[in-house]
Amino acid sequence: MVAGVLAPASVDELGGQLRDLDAHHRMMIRGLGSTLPSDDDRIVVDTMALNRFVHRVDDFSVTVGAGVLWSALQEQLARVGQRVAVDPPGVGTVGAMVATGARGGLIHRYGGVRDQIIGMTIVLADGTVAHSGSTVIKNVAGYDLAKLFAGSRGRFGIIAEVIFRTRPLPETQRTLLVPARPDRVRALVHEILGAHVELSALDLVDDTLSCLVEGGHEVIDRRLDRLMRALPDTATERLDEPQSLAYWSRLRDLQFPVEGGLVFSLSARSTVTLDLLPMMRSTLGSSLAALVAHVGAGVVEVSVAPGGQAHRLLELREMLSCAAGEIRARHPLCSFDFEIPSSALVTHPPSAEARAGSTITVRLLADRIGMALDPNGRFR
Amino acid sequence: MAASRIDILIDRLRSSVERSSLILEAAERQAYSCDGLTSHRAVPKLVIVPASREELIASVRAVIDVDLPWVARGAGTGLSGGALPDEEGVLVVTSRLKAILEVDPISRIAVVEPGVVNLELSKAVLPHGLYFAPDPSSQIACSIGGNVAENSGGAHCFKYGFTTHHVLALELLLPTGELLWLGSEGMDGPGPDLRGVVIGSEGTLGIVTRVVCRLLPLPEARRTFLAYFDSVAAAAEAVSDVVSRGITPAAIEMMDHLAIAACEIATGAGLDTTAQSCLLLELDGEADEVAQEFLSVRALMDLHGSSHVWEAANEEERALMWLARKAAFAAAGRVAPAYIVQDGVVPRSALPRVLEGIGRLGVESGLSILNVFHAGDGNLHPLVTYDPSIEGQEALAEEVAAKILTLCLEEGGSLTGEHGIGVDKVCHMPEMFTADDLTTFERLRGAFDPSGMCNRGKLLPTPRLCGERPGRYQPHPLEEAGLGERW
Repeated sequence: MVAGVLAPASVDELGGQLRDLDAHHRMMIRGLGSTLPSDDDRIVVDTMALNRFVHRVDDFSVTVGAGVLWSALQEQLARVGQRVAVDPPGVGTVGAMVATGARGGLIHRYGGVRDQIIGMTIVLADGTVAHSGSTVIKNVAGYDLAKLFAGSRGRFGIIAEVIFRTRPLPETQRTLLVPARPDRVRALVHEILGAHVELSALDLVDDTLSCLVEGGHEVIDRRLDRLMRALPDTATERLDEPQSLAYWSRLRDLQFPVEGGLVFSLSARSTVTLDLLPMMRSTLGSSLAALVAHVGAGVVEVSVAPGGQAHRLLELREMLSCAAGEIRARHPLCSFDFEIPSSALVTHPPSAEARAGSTITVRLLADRIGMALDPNGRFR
Repeated sequence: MAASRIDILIDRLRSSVERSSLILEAAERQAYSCDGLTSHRAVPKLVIVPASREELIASVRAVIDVDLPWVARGAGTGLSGGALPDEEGVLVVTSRLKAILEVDPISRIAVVEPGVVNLELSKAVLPHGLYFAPDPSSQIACSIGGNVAENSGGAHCFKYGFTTHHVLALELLLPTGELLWLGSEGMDGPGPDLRGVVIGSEGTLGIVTRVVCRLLPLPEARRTFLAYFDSVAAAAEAVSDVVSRGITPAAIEMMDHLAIAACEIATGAGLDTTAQSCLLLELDGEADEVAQEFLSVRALMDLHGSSHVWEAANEEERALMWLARKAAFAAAGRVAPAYIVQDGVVPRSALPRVLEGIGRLGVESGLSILNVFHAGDGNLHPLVTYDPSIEGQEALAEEVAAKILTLCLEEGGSLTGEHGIGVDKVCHMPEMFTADDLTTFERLRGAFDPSGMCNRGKLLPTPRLCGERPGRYQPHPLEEAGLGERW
């Protein structure tokens, strides 16, 4: 049984509630979906009532509470021809999408969710309410707390409100499907990127490169023709708007964990990720549920089936280290890891350099930030 | 006390870095006493100009070991005093670290040292049909390390974003002396984005030793033109209309009548000095799309009463237009002995109101205010001109400049869009941020720099720097409880 549930209806109310709590009481932030272990004694902060929505249509920005559903946000914006240019898989709240650093194929052109945020209101464990950024898209005053909190999985505090930059909703879209045998992927990607057609997404799934083209009705078919002409020896397939929408919806589903499974995200130099894909497939074998590579961005979403997930993660880390020795040399301990059982880490002792204290891991620096913002470890 | 620590440091450094890396003579140190904010000066006890990354790391660690304050500096072009030296400490200059370590044209990234000049990177990758998108006005001189510190933008960031969108990873030497990589060579690395926290932190969280830059393909087509208007308000409304139609030009710059006249005097570019305002618009991308957008934008200019348009017929004319726009700061120096430049930002829809307010301030104070700005993202650069030889006029100009910032904040904007807080605006921070905001920033800073010796006195206000300032209105607990009120 959880120790209690807070369901604040405003940011200030949330700050007050946290200030009134025993400083050592551990907490868990919950939007729509987080499951609660039955033996958990934490206090749950339910963000669903943080549902403020202020859309500055002419300025292309929107302030939205963490509890607003991502789909509701996009529907509201679409009514006036706008969107936040991120297409994450699954359903969930704005807070969840931001806290998990959500993204989809649109990362190719627009980056991830963290790249769309221009301001944020957070609430720290002690009830401190802090803001960074504002409603303007260009702003370098103060530290960018939004970057710190996006993708941090609630480790430093609660994301209460987010200000997004919105963008015009494209009039229409088309998709070109390009069959890509593993030995041809690199060459095809090069040809596609050299075609001078601005793609919104470029994903590789199951030996098919999927090119999303968005834009105005008048020129979109000419643009797709042009992309096809850049691939004269390849039997491509074009999808019209309804087919394209359905296709990308299916691709989004692949990036969502299967029942009991997990999705690991890798980010590396794009050529390195391309080289690694065949190895990932063969090593993960039957535990691989799906593999979606945002190839231009160097980001791969690896969906694995239930069971042995810590070891799957270690295998992926090992693969990145071995196949891309260059990355390891340049980025000694760059990645931010999931929690892994300590027994699983025995095969990966810290390097001698790290032990000597001259380098530190991102994890350790993040821990220091956690100590500064949440000294009692309420959110740990 | 500090002097003896300096002596110890110099002694240690003599055995570990090249002789030419240390600048000891007072006259030579004097040359580093300010950055682009020349109104603030301080001579550091020692200047280190490391010859290599290894020297940089070793020398900063030596500074940390003797517990001296230190400041990082790139090319020194910053406009907010972010690289103003600490007169009790050490200035570490990255200008000799100019190596482009690697270009990977397939992955479209470059790995560079922090002293690489912004424009030099774009020149180096031009043969691959690529470029580095952030293009601050100082791009012929400013360094990538400085761009990282300030999260630099430029005229084209409305479409392409800022340095944070174009730096994938960076190697950081923390104020604790520890070294680590943040980010990855792909986009959107997992976990909290500490890379994104460091970019724009104004050199307060450490010094960058290597940078992985993302490169973009050169646009296939480009159309650049100037549209003249009879009023500033008409031009501002035209900007709003262009953006609200879903068109994202690469750049939308605006100049008012005084700025047009000054730029024409300075460059002879052929601007129409009779116009009350002009927009410099640039569209780029795929040829088909650019052609269509050009027709739409051209029609919108007519709709908002643009008197005439000058389209660049070739690259030379385009260069001339940009020369005129980028000469604005220098041009202000030709029409007045001195000026203060501000960098406030407002939501685009507030532009007409704020420009009217600035105009009113000009009339009331009797000072000429030139307006040049990045209209697409609402980033104003009003140049408040004054004559320092007239008693009281400098103080008046400062007062007007501060009032302009207040106008921006009242519209929900920002103190700075690209120049940074530095020392210049540090005492204005409480006008934009609450005490809790600032305390949170301090807590974050402390996690990176527990001893507080890295670029101290910058970005966050202290009572010593700013005195007791009232700050943003905070309700008293009695008011919150409904037991009292102010009157």
